[in-house]
Amino acid sequence: MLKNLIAFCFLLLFIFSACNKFGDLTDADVVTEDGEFAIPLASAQTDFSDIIANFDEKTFVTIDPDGLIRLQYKGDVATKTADEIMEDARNSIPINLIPVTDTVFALPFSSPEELEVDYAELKGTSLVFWINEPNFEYLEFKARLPQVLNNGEYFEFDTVFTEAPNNWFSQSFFVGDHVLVPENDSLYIEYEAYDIDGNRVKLDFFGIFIQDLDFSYVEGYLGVRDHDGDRDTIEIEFFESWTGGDVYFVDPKIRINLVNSFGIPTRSVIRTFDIYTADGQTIEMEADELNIDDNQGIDFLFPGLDEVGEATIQTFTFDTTNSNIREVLNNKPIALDYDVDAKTNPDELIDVRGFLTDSSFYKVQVEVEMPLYGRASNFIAADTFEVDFSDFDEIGEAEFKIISDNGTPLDVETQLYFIDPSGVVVDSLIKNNEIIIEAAPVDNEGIVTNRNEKITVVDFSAERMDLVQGVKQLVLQTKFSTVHGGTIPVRVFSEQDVEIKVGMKFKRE
Amino acid sequence: MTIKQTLFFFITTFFFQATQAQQEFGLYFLNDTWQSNKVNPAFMTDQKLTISLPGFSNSLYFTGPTYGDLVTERGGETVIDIDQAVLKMNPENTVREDLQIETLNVALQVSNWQFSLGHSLRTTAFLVYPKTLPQVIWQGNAQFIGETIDVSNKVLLQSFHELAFGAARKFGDKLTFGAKIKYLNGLASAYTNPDHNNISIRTDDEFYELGIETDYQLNSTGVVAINSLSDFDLDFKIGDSASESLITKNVGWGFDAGVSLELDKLTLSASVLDIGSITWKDSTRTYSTKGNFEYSGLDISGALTGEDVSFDNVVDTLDNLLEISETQSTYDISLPRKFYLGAAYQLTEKLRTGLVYFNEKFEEDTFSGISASVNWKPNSVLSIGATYSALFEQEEFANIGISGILKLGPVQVFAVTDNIVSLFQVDNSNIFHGRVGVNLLLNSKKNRE
Repeated sequence: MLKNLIAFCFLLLFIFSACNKFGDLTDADVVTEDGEFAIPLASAQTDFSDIIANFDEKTFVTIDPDGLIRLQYKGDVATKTADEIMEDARNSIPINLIPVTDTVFALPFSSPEELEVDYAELKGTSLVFWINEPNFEYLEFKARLPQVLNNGEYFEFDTVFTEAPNNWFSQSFFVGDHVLVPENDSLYIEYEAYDIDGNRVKLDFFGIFIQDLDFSYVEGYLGVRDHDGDRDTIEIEFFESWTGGDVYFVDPKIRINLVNSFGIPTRSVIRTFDIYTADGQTIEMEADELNIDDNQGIDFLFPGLDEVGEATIQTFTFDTTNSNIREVLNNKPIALDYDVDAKTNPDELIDVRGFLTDSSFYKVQVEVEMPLYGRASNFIAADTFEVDFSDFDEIGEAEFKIISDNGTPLDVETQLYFIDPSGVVVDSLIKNNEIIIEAAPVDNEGIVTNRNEKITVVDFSAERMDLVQGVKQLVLQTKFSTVHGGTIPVRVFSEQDVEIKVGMKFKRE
Repeated sequence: MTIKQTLFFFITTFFFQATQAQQEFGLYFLNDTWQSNKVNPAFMTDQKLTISLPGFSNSLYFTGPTYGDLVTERGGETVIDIDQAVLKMNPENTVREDLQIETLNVALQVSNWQFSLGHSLRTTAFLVYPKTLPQVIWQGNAQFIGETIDVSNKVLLQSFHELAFGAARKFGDKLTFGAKIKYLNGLASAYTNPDHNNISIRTDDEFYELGIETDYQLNSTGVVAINSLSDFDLDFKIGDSASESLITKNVGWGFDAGVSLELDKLTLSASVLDIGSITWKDSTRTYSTKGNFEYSGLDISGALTGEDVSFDNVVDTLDNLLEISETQSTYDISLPRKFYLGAAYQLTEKLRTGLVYFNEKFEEDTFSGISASVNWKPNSVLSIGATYSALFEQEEFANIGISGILKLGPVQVFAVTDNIVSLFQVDNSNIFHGRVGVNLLLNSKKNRE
């Protein structure tokens, strides 16, 4: 019996001993020596059409038919109208009541700008006659202004007075649809007055008041006048992120675009034309047309007397043949500061007759053009990114694989700095500043002939990983050079693209 | 949930306590115990009244690494060595688990009938996983750069109450038929849809771009909760499931049937067990992902064009890569259908020999084996037996089992295992089986005679 029991208990013991074997696993660690994971880290592809699409609203881009990219930075359009000159014309005639002291009387003209009006079209203007005569019981009155015409007919007025309250008579005549054709630079008014007996009499008082004098068109010599343009600054974004290196543009230009519907000689007067550079310099543009001391300037084209209502379009270009623009724009310009005024009839040529309408204007716009045809040497740009690596604290050693496929003629040397919260650089990704994106080869014209693929492998030890765990910022510093170290000018086309892929293999700690 | 917790889940589920293979060869020949009725409802006891007290059985079979391959000591600490375990894995590995905790069974004989009613808490599990799956999870995908690997897997886990009502009838002296109808009440489950269980992963060799193709659907009741790839819960504790949910709306039915024919000293028998399924519809979640997903890393094209780039969304992007959707649905999980075909020969009064064939069909997999047994009952107190079994699909051909029954008055205690060697060599074995139980035997037939 006892033996039976003992034998049975041994059996139970064997069974239950197996049970307890697995109880120790609850707190056991999982270990592996060979664990290594591979993940894609980042990828990027862009062509120059994407890059230029993200330029700010102040950067305009044109693409030539062959794809060459031109960057244009434009200033505000400065517009001047004919208001000021029209004001001069209006001020040449008195605005108060003019006593007509004789039966043939020349209305006084005086213009500080020595206007000589050959012809003018009135708008919104009225003539107001004032007559005072004690003998209004009967008065036959005629008045005319031979130089104020409507459809070839001069202005005249005649009436017979039989009475007038308080002996004063006043009447307004709208002449806004009339033209003025001064004679010997004068406007005459003539009147005749006859009494009841038919005797011609001279009025006790006759005055004329020109109300709301305004012109829709003025023709003649309209005097010399300065027009003050607003000072403006064109910001050039291209060098915004520059921190070092050189960029050389083969054929940069600065254009002054003029649209002019003033029918009189006009000349630009460039008072300021300076370039501010990324390294803090101010460089003055030099060109013959910019020498204001010698009264140099750019003469506007202007419409002739038979081209009323039309506007001339004109562009003046500062390029490498007529200015120091190459020197100026190859010094990392970040802004162009300019002040362009204008002067009408600058040469005081009285014999040159012109015109203005009430809608005449001129517009001036300055633009900087930088075709992406040139070379760059160690042109550095930097960007900062905020990061948080706290989710990746189990990563031990790692290996980064950087693949570049470059269709642009630019070498890209990249360095990534790891910055801790106190702003200290604790590590950098790539040792010995390797070029990770190599430029595509170009022909003698600077045009890319093939693509260039490169694979770069960067090892990152576990110790370095621990060091960068706490960083909060990455600074990406990128150094661009055109092919062959920036010694050969290259052309940048919109369809040229570059693709970068970064993968990472890592082991877990 | 960490990877360590995931691994622990699999280990504790599938290595739970003493473990058993799903077949029960030794039990088939323990005709002196009420528990043999569990493998053939036609087996009747000699007692008018039998009360089966709490007992349990567990079967575990797995291919691939053993406990000794998985666990090792380093610096005095017990660690789970994934590298060693992976070396021992097959291209495809299987884990099969059956746990039964029997609370109470009562059998009553009336005339030629035997009626029974009993309750047990059962857990069945079936897992098929490729070697590549643990390799990718723990050893990483770097070893598979340039390859497309298949990590498709099958998961089936269900825990349920079983309330069984059985009846057996003897026709004459020789023929006995028996059957059971079982009410099943599901507690917890996790189940991959067999038509949607595919996942493959490709790591591109250029810069390790990930391509994942999925057609995967995991149904769960109370086991899995997935918010994202890195935020999911696995929670399966049999005890908790049983105590929290005594009755659920996840209902099923099972059916057992058996026959026994005594021909002088020869007894022929056959049975079919666990025909049925459970319909899971209460508190269910179905997680699905289907499609081709690619991850190429963070797109920093904006950095090249002067825009701002944020690295904040990398983890979120990876987390939500597979676009896992969650719905509620109803699904059925079948029980593992078993078939026994046996023959026993009473050599002497105290010695009996037998042969049994076993076949189980579970999902789309089949397990089968054959066992020869000898049982020796030297006296009325003790009965001991031994089996020699061969499992065909598992290619295990040297399984030695032993059993013992001890009867002290009305109390009968028994234990049986189909693989005694595994109990001595836990570290190196992959088939485990054990069952223990206690019965109260009242008013035996011999006493009545």
